[in-house]
Amino acid sequence: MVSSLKGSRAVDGQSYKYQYGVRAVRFPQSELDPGGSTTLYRLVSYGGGGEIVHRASCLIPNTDAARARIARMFRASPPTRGGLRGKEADGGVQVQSVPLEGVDVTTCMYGGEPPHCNYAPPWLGDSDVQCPANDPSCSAGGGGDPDGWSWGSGGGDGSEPPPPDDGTGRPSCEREASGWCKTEAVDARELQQITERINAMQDSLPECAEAKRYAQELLTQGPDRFQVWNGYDVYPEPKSPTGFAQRLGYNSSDAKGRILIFDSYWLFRERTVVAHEALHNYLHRINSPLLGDANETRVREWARKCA
Amino acid sequence: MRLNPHHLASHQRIRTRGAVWFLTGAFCFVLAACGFALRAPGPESHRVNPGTYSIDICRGSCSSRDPETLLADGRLVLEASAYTSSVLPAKARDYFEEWVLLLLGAVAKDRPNACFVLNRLRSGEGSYAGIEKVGLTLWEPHRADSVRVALYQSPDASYYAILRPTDGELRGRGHSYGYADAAVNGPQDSVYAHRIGPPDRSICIRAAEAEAAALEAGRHPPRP
Repeated sequence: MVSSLKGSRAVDGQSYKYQYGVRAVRFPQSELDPGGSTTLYRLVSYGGGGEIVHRASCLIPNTDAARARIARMFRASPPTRGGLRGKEADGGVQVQSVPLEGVDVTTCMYGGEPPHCNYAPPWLGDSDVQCPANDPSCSAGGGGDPDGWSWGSGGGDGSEPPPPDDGTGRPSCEREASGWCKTEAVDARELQQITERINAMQDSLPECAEAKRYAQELLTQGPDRFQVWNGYDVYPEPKSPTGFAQRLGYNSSDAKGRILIFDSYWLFRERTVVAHEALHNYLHRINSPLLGDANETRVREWARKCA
Repeated sequence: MRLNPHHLASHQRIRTRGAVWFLTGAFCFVLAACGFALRAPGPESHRVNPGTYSIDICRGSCSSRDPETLLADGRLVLEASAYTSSVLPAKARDYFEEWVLLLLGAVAKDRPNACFVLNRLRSGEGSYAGIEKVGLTLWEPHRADSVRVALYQSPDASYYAILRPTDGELRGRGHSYGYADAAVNGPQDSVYAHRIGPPDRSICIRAAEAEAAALEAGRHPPRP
């Protein structure tokens, strides 16, 4: 079994703080669960200032041997089955141990004990990972770097790296130079979904009927009034506690007027996303004075009644 | 013209050799020499007890429950392990899967370990506190000493609480953020929660069933 280990690392001297990468980890047959079960392994490593230095996650076989292998990779003691390291007899849970099924490890990058991690020793220079000769997983996979990691796009300037993915199993979106996900014209299936969602909006409430009418106007103006992006869109959001947020849809505009833009994945899975954006468009079209949370609150309230 | 564009940094060549990932192996022996191991159980103040919490979200201090500052209140249920919506009664499950799917799916990845019921008491304050009345969600560690829980997720807006455990209480901040038409620029909220009992998911189930009934009535109002 080869797992795809996704991670992020802090970088110096860049306008962004983190860079994202992937590394293949190979588990021999002897370390696989006979029933084929896997568990999520997540690691967060802190530096001396409490900053996250790197973060990684991957699905690994749900066996002690696999946990031990990946713990060796990160120089941590093997965590126990179930991921509730730190769980005590009274049911208390250490905050570092996510109460999710899986294995969660919090380490200090340079020694110490979270949250009191050591700073980087000044005498540590550049160095490659030293892999034991008998550990093929340590150097398995990967592309350009000697430790097996392939590093990709730069991240944002938030206080933490983003989650390695959005849990849907799809890749991050392809981004424009501006950092926005590249949007594209809707295909026939996407246009049909949008059309059906708009036409299915309720007429019983005046706001719904009006939002539906404006959205149908967009449909008559042409398919270019709707766009989609593919892949998840986790974008830097300084106000977010993680430094990042996920975008699933929004209103944009060009010289012709508004454009409703959707994450294609959620367009087909979430019932209210089209109505939600159609209602934002409606409030814009009627020059509503509602802004910010007042605008969003009204849209949220209506979207469930309209969708 | 884009609304409210974010500018990611342009990609530049990075100094890969000096990056921290490569140091991992090099100082393995340092960690070993220091007796490096998984984190031992921490001080009492760092422990979060799963349970049912009474929660107040305020603009300013939550200490007085002043109606002038209280934005939302309700219940927050933190559980010790994740579950799936399939274990819920049909009406509640349908509500969460139909109408609060972005919290359940995009945030909790279909494996929630928390739920909440909130009453929004004030609006127009630049906060998304309480905008979602009931939802299944995820609580997870935040940095080394806090937990993070999402209380709202729409296509273009979110609300998170960051809470630090202290002797059976959780204290922290609420963060609203939105984007394009949903952009907000208010200050952070104060959040205070105290444990009132073991995890009681039925609070959320009942609230979801009530919301489903209200929604059904609202979607199909009686004709005059």
